[in-house]
Amino acid sequence: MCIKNGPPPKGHPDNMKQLWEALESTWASIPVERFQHLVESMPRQIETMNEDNVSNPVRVQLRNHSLRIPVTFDPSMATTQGTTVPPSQSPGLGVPTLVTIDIVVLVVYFLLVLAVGLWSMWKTKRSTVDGYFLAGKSMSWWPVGTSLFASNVGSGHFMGLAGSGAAAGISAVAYEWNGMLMVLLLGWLFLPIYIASGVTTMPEYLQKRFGGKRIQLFIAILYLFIYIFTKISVDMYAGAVFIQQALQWNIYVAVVVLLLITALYTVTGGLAAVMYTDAAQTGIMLIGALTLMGFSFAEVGGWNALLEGYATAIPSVRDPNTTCGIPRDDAFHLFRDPVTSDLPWPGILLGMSIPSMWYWCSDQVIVQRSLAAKNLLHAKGGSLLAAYLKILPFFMMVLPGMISRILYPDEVACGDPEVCTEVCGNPVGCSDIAYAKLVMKLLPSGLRGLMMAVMIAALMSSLTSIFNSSSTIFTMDLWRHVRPRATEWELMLVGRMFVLVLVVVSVLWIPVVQASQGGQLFIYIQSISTYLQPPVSIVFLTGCFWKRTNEKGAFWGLFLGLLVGGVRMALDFIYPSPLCYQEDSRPDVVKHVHYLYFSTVLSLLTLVVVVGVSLATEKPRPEQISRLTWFTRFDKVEKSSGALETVETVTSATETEESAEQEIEVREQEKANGETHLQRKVSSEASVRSQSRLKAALYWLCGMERQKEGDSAPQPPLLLHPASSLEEDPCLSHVVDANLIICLSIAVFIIGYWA
Amino acid sequence: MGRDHTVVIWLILTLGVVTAQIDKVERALPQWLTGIIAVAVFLFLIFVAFLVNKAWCQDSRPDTKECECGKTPGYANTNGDHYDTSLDMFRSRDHEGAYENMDLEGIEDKVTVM
Repeated sequence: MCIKNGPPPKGHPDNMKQLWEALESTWASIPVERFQHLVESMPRQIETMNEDNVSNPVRVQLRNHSLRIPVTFDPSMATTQGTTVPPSQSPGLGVPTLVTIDIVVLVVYFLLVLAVGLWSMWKTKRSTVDGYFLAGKSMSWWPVGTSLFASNVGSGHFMGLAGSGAAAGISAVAYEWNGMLMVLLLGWLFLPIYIASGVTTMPEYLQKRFGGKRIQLFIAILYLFIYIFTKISVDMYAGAVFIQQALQWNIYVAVVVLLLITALYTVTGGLAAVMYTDAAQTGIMLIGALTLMGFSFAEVGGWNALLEGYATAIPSVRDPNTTCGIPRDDAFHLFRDPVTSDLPWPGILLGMSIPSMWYWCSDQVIVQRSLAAKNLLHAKGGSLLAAYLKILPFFMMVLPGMISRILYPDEVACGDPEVCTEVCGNPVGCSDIAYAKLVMKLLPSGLRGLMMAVMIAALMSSLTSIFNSSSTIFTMDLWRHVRPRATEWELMLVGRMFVLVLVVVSVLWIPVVQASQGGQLFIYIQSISTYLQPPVSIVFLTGCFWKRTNEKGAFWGLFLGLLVGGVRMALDFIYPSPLCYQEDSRPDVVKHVHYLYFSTVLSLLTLVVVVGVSLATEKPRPEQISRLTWFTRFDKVEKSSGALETVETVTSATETEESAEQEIEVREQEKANGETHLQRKVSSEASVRSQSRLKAALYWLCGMERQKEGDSAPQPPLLLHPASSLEEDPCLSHVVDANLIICLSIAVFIIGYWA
Repeated sequence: MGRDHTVVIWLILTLGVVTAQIDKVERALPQWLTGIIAVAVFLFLIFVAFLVNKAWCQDSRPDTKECECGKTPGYANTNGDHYDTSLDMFRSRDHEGAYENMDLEGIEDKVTVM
């Protein structure tokens, strides 16, 4: 630093004495404040230096440790197809900054999503059950396809797939490509059955197929439990961490604002708003993630650099006696050793397919979107679009995760527990920060805002879908069980209220996240769905494709399967999997039986119980088979209830085995309700005419239009001839089938390429 | 100089050990070839399934109304299936889609000899 404000030198010093005097006077003339400022600027300078020099051994503890979620991504505990992820706070990321242009991008994104939501509200009729929960069954293939993709890919995917790519190679993408096959299975095999049966929810299908109430209630409660404890929690964690890191806001404020925005169009618009906004969110997600992919490949030096560099991405601080920190040999293989690896190939083929089938073919969130399609062809087209889009997560998330490990091995692939705790607060590993690190380090400003928008898009699209589907299950299965005479108005109100309840529940997850410092709690929660999915999947499979399955078989198969799954889950809680350098001291049952193999065994057990009990007890009745299995999906509608079908209101309990008498009685009740509504409306109009416009506006906003008595019968007559709704224009049907073969061939090729 | 040589040799040895540890799993075939083979096998299986389906459907078409091969020309299963058999009697042999009026067939021109 130049000292420029000293007294002017008295000419050139000629000797040492004069030189010394000149130095002394110059030194004395430096003001004291300058030194003070120097000392005070030291912390800031060290921070800047630390940020610039990632591998600098000098570590400075940064502020903002308020949200520590030290959990690790365990690829074996993936739930919603490819993720688990409990993401972790990473103080070592440097000081993230969002400049003005980032904020502008975010604001534009929110406005776009709200615009799409409002437009869809205006476009669809939302006051009927079909209109609110099934988007009026009028969606074409592209909203169906993009909504399938966006509902599935949440913020947890970004963190989880990238993290597992960094930690264990490409194996986690098996969940994605398995999902590709399953979504096609949904469109071609399962959906015709669901359409022919005319159901709105999956528990309703089980109730029609097996009769009785216990299976329906059991499954409805199980689904709600799974949604609240696994799906909502995963996405809340990943989204909350990203928000806090990038925006540095109070986490409660950020989450509440976000959820209020999503609740606005979810509550009022129903499934139609959710699906159209999902389409917009998919576009944003693809643009952002592909951009980041381009940047990361440019940074690492190309495709070959990735393939070769990954093997040498070893952190500098590691225990040399163990293999911790060294990347796997089979990192670029999908099918790994059946005994010793983390994802054995027989497990991938069998043990992964059954839970995957549960997710794509019998989970309410996914099936509801396909049911909202115009006809079967559009639904199949949607499945195809979703399948093609599912090719992309490999390139958008897994490979950048591996690149992140190559670029920042000491943080992402930290092998020593102390180093890991310093980097991200979790001694097990820091692979979760892989994606976030790329976003914060590689992208210029403006694009960082776009990536924030991408993460928020992923979070919001998944959350809105879960809210809507949970609300559907609650309203159609649980509420209607408690109040079978509920009017459509009441169901609409309940449906909307439940979404708000779920918003509150989602916000309540945040203190739980903050409290679970150990992170193990979160891993255990994830294992819930891994061990509970196979029995349900088998019950659906046997129900759809075997006519002999009856209620007792299904119930006992479900019960015993869930029991065995629960036992394994408890064992996993008691004996957690060891860290990399620790001894494995778990009992043999847990240690040697990989969870994928266990899933296969559990599925077989459930199948044996279902088949055995079904054969030992009475056959199911014909009305429980007609139009409810693959082989009977073209059966004609029963003519006995034909006269009442045009007035089939969804408010009454419409089980086909109810006698015609009961239906007539309910119909009378309906008319009475409609009349009282009309009377109330007339009287209220007479007395409070000035307030009616405000009310009308409010009702329109909420999508609940009070109808006159004449219109109280639901407008589009429900499936008079379910078989006709399975009609397909033959020419387009051929096109779609050819496309199916192409899509399957591509899937087989990429699986074979990476095998 | 000897010491430098020793250091270099140790370095090279360590490098060799490290690379031996991270030696990748060898592939028998190039990756694209495995992919192509998988696709070929898959398409072959689809073809076989298609043939089996066609043969099965041909055999059982007279027996069952609903056919799993699905590609019935014209319209999918309608509700009027069971009327077809009676309409068949009226089909015209000369024109497709036309129906004869059976009542007229029995009428012969009666020529009264004046």
